[in-house]
Amino acid sequence: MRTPRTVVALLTLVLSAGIALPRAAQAQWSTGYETFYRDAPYNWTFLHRYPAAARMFNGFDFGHAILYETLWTKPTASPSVLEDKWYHELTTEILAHPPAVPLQEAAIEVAYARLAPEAKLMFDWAHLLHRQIYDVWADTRYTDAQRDAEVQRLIAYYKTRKDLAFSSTPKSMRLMQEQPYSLAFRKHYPKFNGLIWAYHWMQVGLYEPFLETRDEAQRQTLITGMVARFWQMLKDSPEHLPYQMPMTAAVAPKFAARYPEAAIIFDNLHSMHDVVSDILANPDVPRSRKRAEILLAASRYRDDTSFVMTVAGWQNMSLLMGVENMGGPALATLETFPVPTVTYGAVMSHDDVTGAHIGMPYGQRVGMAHGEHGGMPAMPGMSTDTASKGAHAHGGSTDTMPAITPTRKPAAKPSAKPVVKPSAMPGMRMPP
Amino acid sequence: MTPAISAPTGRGQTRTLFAELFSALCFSFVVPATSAAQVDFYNTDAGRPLRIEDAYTIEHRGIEFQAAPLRVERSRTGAYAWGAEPRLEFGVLPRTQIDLGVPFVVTDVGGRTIAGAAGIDVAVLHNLNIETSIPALAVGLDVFLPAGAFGPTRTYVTALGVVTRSFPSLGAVRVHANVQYTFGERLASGSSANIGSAIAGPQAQEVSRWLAGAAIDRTFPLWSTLVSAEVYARRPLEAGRAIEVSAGAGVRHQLTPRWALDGGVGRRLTGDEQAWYATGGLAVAFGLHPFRKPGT
Repeated sequence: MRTPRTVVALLTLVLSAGIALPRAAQAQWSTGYETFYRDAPYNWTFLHRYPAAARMFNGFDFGHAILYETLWTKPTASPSVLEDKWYHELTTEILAHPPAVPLQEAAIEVAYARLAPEAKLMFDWAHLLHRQIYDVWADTRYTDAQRDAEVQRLIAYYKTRKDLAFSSTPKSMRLMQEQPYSLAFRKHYPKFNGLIWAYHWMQVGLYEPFLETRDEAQRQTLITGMVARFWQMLKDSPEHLPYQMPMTAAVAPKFAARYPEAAIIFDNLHSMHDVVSDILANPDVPRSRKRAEILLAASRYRDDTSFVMTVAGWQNMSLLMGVENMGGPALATLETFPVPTVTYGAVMSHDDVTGAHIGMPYGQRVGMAHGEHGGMPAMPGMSTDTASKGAHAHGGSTDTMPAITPTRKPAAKPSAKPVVKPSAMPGMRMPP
Repeated sequence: MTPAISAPTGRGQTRTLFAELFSALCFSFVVPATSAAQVDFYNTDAGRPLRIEDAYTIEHRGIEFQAAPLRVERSRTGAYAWGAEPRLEFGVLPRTQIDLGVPFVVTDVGGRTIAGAAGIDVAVLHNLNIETSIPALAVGLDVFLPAGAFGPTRTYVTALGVVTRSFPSLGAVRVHANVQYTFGERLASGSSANIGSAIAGPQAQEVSRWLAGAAIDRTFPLWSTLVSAEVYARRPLEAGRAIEVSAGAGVRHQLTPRWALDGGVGRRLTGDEQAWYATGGLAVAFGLHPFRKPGT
């Protein structure tokens, strides 16, 4: 006959199992779902009228998906898997011959989609908003006033999915690049990271041709020029790729001024793309914590309270980061490349209210004195370089990887190769 | 809803069906590229092209019209049976779809060709979760109402359970398992309802006491194409009939963002009515208010 102590122990064991198992399951129980995009006559007009540009977005989706899948399923693989193999595949095959219809990303990032389906749904939902705004502006049946009204309806429709919608309140760059896991991706995979930033440059920049002119022929010319600029960026990568995350207010100022909410949403979207990359790429985040960290970041990008900036601060910060560091303005001439004023992937800190530059915890300025880049006036409160010589002072840890020094010259002249070969990056200690 | 099959005219009927399928295919290509959209090819439905479906529903607020799902079956005796089931699905709630199908059948019975509706099918499918380390699960309820010459003689209610799990180590491979059970009394042998149930419309609306099966699919994402294969067993509701085991394979392809095409072949391997069958279909997806005028 069992003693009472044995019975209690058994009961405790059963109860513990009964509580623990459901909790474990609860953490994995995901009830996300998709909502159909706002159906309207303008749907897919952008794809119809500008297939070369629109189809590239399908290729971009593949790039994002294969990135996450590779980072998650091959954590110990050499960076060359992404930096060489997939970069080459993307830039010579997939983007050169992009799919005609939107891709099913879940069939590319199969394991990642299982890891964090909630984040995947957030990206998908924001990408639909991206595409639908192109459609509204590509449809010639609309007046500008009707377009403005429809874009506001699209934003309102987007926001109906509170569980998926990125906040339309600006988020500080601290959320993206000053977290314990931050910078891992850009340091280990500078070429692929630059490619992702080039994607984002084009995704926000392509609004500018529509706002610049209502003339169809001119639009076609401008869009063709943007696509050409994108391909130019890929030459000698990462040299001509963006050195900073492209900010909508800098790359597409007309769009950001007209639809600041959408611009903020897209900046938050693109920031979170980088965050997910960092979480997946950073070996200091245990695999068992990846999902939780992604979901935490996702919740912060959805809420209107954490890491927020003022709209004025966001606009100012976007300009102070330097459009020349982001691939240049969307409608820039193709004859020369912008000359970056910071080292690759440098981290600039900004005041959350004013957007003023207050420090540079990683990387350094090059080429110009503070306040000169981008034609911007000197910023009050801006500190001198805090991480000179490429030392990584972020989080108090030491970074063994030197910062990449931009060596850009005007495109008419041969450019020097990047100082550090991406695939030759030594192993590094990441910030705690 | 316009019946896909207008009159039972034997060989002429065959030509009509092919003509309609051809017309539908042409229509899908001439629809302007303003049609485009999400990735329907990845969300499998029963009968398109396989009997075993996945655990996911259509998008909330999404509508899918399966415009031309056709099925042809050739029995051991060489007799052909044709079916079509126009079907409308609506994402009425998050992770929940309702759908309405009206199967039509054309078949040879006793040396003459007859055609007619084979019941009305109203179904609801609810996805419980999306896959993480836990497989995606769904439950459904299917009500098959008596209607038409080939319909059942009474209402049958079927409960359905679906599991979908992906296998990343194998690539873009998913496995789906379906089990279902139909409540209600057995059909009398040789009843008219049995004729319809044996034919199995394109949505495979056989009235089975139970059905259990699995499918595996492999996606080729850059081609927006899914290739799948299945095997399932069912116990017909008709008294005295043996368990049937069927196997099939199919393809789904996204033609445009809105239009998806599917086709498949299969064979009933055991049972009293072993036969080959082929299916083909088109589906178009749209949302609520698709004809909204600009600026409204």
